[in-house]
Amino acid sequence: MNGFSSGQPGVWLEKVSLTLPLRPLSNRNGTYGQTRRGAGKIEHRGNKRSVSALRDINLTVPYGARLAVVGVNGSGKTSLLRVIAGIYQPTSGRRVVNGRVAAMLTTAIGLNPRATGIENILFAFNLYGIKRASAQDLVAEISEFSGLGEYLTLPISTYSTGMRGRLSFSIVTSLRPDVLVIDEALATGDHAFQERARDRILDLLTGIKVLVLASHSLDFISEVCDRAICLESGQITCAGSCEEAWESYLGVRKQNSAKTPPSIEIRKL
Amino acid sequence: MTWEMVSLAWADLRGSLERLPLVAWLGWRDALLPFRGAVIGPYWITLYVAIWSFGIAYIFKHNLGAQEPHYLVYVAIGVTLFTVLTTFFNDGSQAFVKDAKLILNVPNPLSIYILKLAVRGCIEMVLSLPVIAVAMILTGLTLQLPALLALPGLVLILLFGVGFSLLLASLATRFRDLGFAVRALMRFMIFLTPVFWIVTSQSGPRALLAELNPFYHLITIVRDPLLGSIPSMHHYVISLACATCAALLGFLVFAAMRGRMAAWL
Repeated sequence: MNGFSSGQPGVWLEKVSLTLPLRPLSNRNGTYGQTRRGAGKIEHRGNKRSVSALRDINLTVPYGARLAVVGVNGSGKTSLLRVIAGIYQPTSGRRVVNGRVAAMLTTAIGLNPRATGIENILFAFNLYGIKRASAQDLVAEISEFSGLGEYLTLPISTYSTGMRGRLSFSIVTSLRPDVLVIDEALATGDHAFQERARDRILDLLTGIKVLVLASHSLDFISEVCDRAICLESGQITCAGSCEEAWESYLGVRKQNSAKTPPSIEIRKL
Repeated sequence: MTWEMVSLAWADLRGSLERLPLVAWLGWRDALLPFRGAVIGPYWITLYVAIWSFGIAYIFKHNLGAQEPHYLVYVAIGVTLFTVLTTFFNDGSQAFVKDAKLILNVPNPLSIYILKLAVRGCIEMVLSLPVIAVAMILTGLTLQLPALLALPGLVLILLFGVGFSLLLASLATRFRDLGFAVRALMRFMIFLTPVFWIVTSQSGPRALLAELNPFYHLITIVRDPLLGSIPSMHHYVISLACATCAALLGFLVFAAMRGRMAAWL
């Protein structure tokens, strides 16, 4: 039924929903204006509140597919990536994922400020389950790409923000999993690094068998992906080509900007 | 709770055992990295145990420790083991909360964040050994054959600690007040537990209080053999029962809450 009996890497979600619980907070009264369209709905049940992050997601990403996920802030992109990665368990529905999954959701992958660059690299290998045999080559590759040189022998706390970003970017992009879920907002560093980072992501993504990419850039997704979905309030509103999903995403964005006038007042000042 | 939840939790635990290098790294990170940059470094753990043991032994040796010729060793072992138990309880209840970033961004079994506590506990014990050794030399105590019995005792302490941490971590991720409650209670537990005082020198409610305290039995089955005597059977029975219950209960609660754990972080 799911077409994965052959054991090929792939992602299959059936009617997947995810609600994220909220703890009771003391101050919840008052009017805060309208929430922008497209974010997950906050649900009230008696005294309890929760965010409906994903609703009835049906999704198949077969072997060889490169899927882009677009949507406004809070529409459920990261939640979807986390469900695919197995970090969040769906509240209802079924999730089947074949193959070795890696998630690159943030560059803040838990680098330890007191540990040196090299120690952090080795820690990340353990964290992502990299075999010892390939570790040596990877360390060399990472130190070359990050361009950190002798800084790698120093604790991360001595790095600038950009240098930290370069290190974690180099680490996460050195992994070669079967299934990759990735947030494009990953690229950091100065201008020169960003250009190389883009090349490296492209290079990495071509080696991946199944890709799910969350992004805010049409150029990037149409370069990398062959299909796309648009999320709105945790639901798939459009599934098709990158351009189609992008149109749907722009539709939500346009409505939001029509609703938000305060930028004029700033100009008056 | 369904059978599937239990088998998923079991798979989680097995997955952690396949990732022992990562478990060891996390233990090392928690136990030793905080001391980076300090000249004395991780030996602050040794010093901490030394200050407590020698200080307490000096102050109380004539009243609380009058009947124990090796009171200094008694206190040093007690302080060491209590420190390890404190690690399991305090850090255990925060195990998932503190590493929320790693849990939410890298798919890994959750129980690695519990097993690392055992690594950390062992590192702390090794660093405390010099204090116990010096105390033994100073009081002229030599290890006797029963000392070997301390090893199964240590295994029971680790099992109890890991099981209880699993329980506390699972519950405290959902109910954040628990973490604070545990820390408040642990402050007090060192007085409730016979670390500075000796049970046989007490009578009435205080001795009863010790009997009801699992820490007492767990510490005794390691401390008594090292002091040269064989602990009475009831200490073993209670320790084994407590460790098994903690492990079972921890596992079941973990199994029940595992699916929603990340959502509560």
